Amino acid sequence: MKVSEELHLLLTMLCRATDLPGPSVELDVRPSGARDPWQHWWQLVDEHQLTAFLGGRPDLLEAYSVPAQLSDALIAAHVRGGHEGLFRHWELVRVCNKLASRAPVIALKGAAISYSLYPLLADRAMSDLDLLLIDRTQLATARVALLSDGYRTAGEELPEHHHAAPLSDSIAELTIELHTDLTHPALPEGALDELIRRRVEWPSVPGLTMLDPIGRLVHHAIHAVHDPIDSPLLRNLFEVAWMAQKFTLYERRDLAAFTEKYGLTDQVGHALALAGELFGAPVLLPLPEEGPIEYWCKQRLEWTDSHGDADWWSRFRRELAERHLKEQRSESSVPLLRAGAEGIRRAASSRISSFFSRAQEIEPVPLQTTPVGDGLLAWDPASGEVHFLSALSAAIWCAAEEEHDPKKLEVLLDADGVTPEITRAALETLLQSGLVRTRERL
Amino acid sequence: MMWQLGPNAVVSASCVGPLHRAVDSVFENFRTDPARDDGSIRPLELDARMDGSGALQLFASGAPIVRAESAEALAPLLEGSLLGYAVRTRRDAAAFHAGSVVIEGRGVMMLGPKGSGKSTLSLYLAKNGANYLSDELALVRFEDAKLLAFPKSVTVKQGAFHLFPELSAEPTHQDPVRGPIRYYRARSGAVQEHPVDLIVLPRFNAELDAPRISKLSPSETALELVQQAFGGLERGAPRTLDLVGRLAMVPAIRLEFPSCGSAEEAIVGALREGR
Repeated sequence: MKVSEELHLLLTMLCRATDLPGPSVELDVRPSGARDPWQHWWQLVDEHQLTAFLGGRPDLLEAYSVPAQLSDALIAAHVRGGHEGLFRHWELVRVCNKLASRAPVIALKGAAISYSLYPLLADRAMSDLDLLLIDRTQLATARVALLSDGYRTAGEELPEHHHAAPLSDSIAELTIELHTDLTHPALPEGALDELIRRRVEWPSVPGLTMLDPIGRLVHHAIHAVHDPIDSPLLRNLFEVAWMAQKFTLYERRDLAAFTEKYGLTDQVGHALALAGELFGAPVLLPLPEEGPIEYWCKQRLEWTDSHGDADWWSRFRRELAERHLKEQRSESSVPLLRAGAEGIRRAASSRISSFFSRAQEIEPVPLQTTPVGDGLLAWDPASGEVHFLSALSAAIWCAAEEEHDPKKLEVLLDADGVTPEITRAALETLLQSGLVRTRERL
Repeated sequence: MMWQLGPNAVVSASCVGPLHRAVDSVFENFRTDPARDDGSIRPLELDARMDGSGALQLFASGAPIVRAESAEALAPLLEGSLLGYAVRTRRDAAAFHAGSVVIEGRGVMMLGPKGSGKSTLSLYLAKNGANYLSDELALVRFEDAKLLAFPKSVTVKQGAFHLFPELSAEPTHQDPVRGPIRYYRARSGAVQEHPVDLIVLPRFNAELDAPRISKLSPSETALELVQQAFGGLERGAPRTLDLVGRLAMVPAIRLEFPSCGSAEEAIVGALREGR
């Protein structure tokens, strides 16, 4: 695998922090060509969600002469991880205890790994809590209990999927996913039952139950490479490596026996093989034949690691991370856009709207709105964007609810004294802002 | 010892060791009598243990959360964590990055990001007769858009130490993000809730000779409120959006000020003008 010097440095640092042996000598290490290698290193750390972990290790940052500005940003991420971890823990224990008598849950993925692998909850960022229930009846019970507790459905229900539609509590700023299986498609028959039987209680946290070490590694290894493109792949593989490194001889034998019994050797082996290559972790299982999983995982790491010719996706993420770093703001900051009179004036002098020539209709995008003076404050829950519409653009946006034909809309508003040019320009701005969308004429 | 940070947020810690002093330095006004605990809320149990390197590990209800390099670093870590806990269990109110006081019977919300001077200004106003409600977290009730008191100790950063010489006897805490800070234990005022009569966007600017004031339009105010709302409009949707719509109609000014005294004059002037 080709890796840049910056990625190699990051791998080396992660290994040093956890006593992993180190990256394979067979890695093809090359200069990335980045103008600022440390900036490139930061982008890798940020993209793979390793900021909180590294920020908790100031001695390591000092040993590798990480520049002060980056060290400070990493330490701040670790501190924020602590703030986040404290509340997430409180909520997880509360939910576990609430459900204990009716539908006991087993903590999965980050909710389990942050306790069982990392020394501190501040070390691992996490966006949601994944909880396993033993069957769909108990899932329904848990769902009702959480809905009565402030959680709301946030997303679509996928038939036969291994987890139900996410439940989100906007006050607690947490999302919970209730699972009835670990993977999609489901694990081979009997495997899940055995893993549930083997579950363990986490001694220091009453009410918290998780899979045993074998179950945690099996699940995380499969999960780590399941979506190599849109996941923090490097962190996931690092965690697989760290877990494998901690395995006792007995656990190694147990893992081999379990995966062989259920035909999971290859499925688990992909992540272990990659973790071995990147971090020098023990592979534990026979090496699987290289296939599409390895290809895409390596592509992902090479894409995000090549500075000069990254694809649009990694360029976008990189630019976002750079901007956030410069502005010292978090990922969750609300992007703002003003589509008021000024925007309309600007658009009036720009090119003629393309949708008129294609004989398309328009319709407003569903938004939550509240009047502010004679304007409209609008929020798009899907994108999280906020818009302020001037009285004129608000009127046009509202009128588009009833009249979908742009030409007829111009005529309609012309009667109210709004010239067709202004209407067209306003529609163009609304279209560019994502507040109206086009559709084929019905 | 126990501290009640909100209707559903209670924290407990042992009276032995540095932990309760650290919590107290930030949340003394929230102390509650453990004897009054009716058991309806499961408290967040805090603990701090020394690790092998002499640092303190903060535990919450049994789980290791984060490491404090020294006892001096404990209070700032707790401040951030417990603020998050208080906000994320608070279902009746939106939360904004803002200080809040009541001056001459009028509620003032000082809205702004970190470093804008809102904490320092809140403290200065509180010391000069205003009723102190909060320094950097303003809770505004969804139901009636009233400011609710959250009177934690005011955080004073190193750059403002000289403004409050009485703090020289107070311990200096080491915040890994904000640097050295001290806490001013501002007294909780008699007024615990109040409508918002003026929104101020403060910005300290030492280079000015006199304060610079500009009025904000409702749309500008609305967007500032959205930017400074904890969790954006998603938190408590759609009630936060409605609340922002209401608050945006409150008179609002952008205030650049070279000194706290000049800012106070400008705020009082704006309040009188608005009567």
